[in-house]
Amino acid sequence: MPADSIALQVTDLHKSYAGIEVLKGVSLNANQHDVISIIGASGSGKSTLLRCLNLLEVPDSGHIQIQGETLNLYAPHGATPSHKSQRKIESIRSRLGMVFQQFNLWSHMTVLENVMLGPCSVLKRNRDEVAVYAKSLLERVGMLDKCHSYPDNLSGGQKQRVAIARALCMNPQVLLFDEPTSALDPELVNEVLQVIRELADEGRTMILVTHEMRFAREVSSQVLFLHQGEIVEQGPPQQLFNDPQSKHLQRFLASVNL
Amino acid sequence: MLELLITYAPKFFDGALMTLKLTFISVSIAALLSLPLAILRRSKNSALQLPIRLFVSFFRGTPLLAQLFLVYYGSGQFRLELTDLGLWWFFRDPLYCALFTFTLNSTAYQIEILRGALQAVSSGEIEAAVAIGMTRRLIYQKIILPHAYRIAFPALGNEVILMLKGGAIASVITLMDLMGRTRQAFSQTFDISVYFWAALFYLLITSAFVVAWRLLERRLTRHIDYHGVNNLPSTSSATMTGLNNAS
Repeated sequence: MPADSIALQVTDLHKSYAGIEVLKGVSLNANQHDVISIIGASGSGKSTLLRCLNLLEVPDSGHIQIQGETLNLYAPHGATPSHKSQRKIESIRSRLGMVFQQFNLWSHMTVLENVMLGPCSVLKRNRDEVAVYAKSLLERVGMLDKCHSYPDNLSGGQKQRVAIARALCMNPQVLLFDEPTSALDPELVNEVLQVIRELADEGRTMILVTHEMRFAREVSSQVLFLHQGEIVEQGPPQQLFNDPQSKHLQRFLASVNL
Repeated sequence: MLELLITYAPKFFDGALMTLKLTFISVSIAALLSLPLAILRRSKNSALQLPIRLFVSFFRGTPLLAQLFLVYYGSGQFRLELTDLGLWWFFRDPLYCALFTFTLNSTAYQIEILRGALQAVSSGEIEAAVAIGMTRRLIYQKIILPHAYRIAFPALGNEVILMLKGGAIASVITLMDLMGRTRQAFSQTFDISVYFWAALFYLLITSAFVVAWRLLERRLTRHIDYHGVNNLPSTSSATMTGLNNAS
């Protein structure tokens, strides 16, 4: 496989909290245009894995490679990264778009300011050009008419759509979704899933942690099943959902409604 | 009573100016000092936060009057040493002593106010800024400080008012602030109504300040939706009208 089609490669990621190993050597390959869903019971380490990818949690060891740039991690406990690697971490983060369960919009800024802040301040892009691009993204997620509202005045679904536009505006190589619909009222889930589905259709590389099994089955090119910090099964969705091999996955799929 | 006011009005104005000067200089310098100190106060390094904690507990735990005496009369005990250090010109002047004391005192209070406010900033919003690749400096500038100052704003306004009134004790070390002028006027007339006029002056200044501060606060919090707050059940008749509207 040619190296330039790999968007994100993670090798042998380990992470422990207070002596308890949450990730036990997870490896993951995301090619361009892949949509990877990570499923698993609560506490299986899905969110931790996602947060390790953009280093919101610093893994204890492992490699993360994004577009040819490798970050080797062997941080001794409590060590703060040097200034140089801090730069590198910030640059990696700016190339991975993150969408949070709780939206985490900046509440003191308008919708448009939320979307524009990253490109203007981190990437130091021209304000006028960013504004044009931000508005086009807000239009795509159906939020252009609210661009001067504050997050407090939006519904959960609207907030999440703005958060997706905010992540997109950085032109990320990979989009990470951390349970993007788990904090939403049931009737608002679909408007957000619809946006994510459109992004998948246009070939965005995405990794999502989700409890929406039906959705994962429909949009994913690959599904990972995580159990107690290890990838127990992985493959195309038809294979995992129709023909689960391991006991753990069988039990998990039986416990969630499909 | 009124002619007393007319006679002493210029002096009252003089004193009010001095009071304003004392308050705003010390509160402003304290505002500049307290932000970096509040950030250090939150550091995990105890060598950094311990001295700040000691400083804060001393100035919050002792009376302002005692602090003022300690600086003004205390420095007199070390006149020779202070002269050698070239600092005596500062400590011999009651105005400088008052400014010095009030600044330190207000710094201590403002550190505590800001510390609480920094702590209250939503961790999710900070995380979103981290995730997008912002540097620490940018995160403070764009996310943490705007929120922290909005949260701290009412308490900071309160601190300014307390300092404005607490500043009256500067008159004890011969400063002619509003209280100093009042005491002077009283000693010349033995007319108790000068204290009434002084109180009115203080009230005017603080009221003007409260109005200005509230306008600023409204601007700082324009992004917050207060609808929920207004619908809180209350014990007054407002509840009844609220219920009527709802039904």
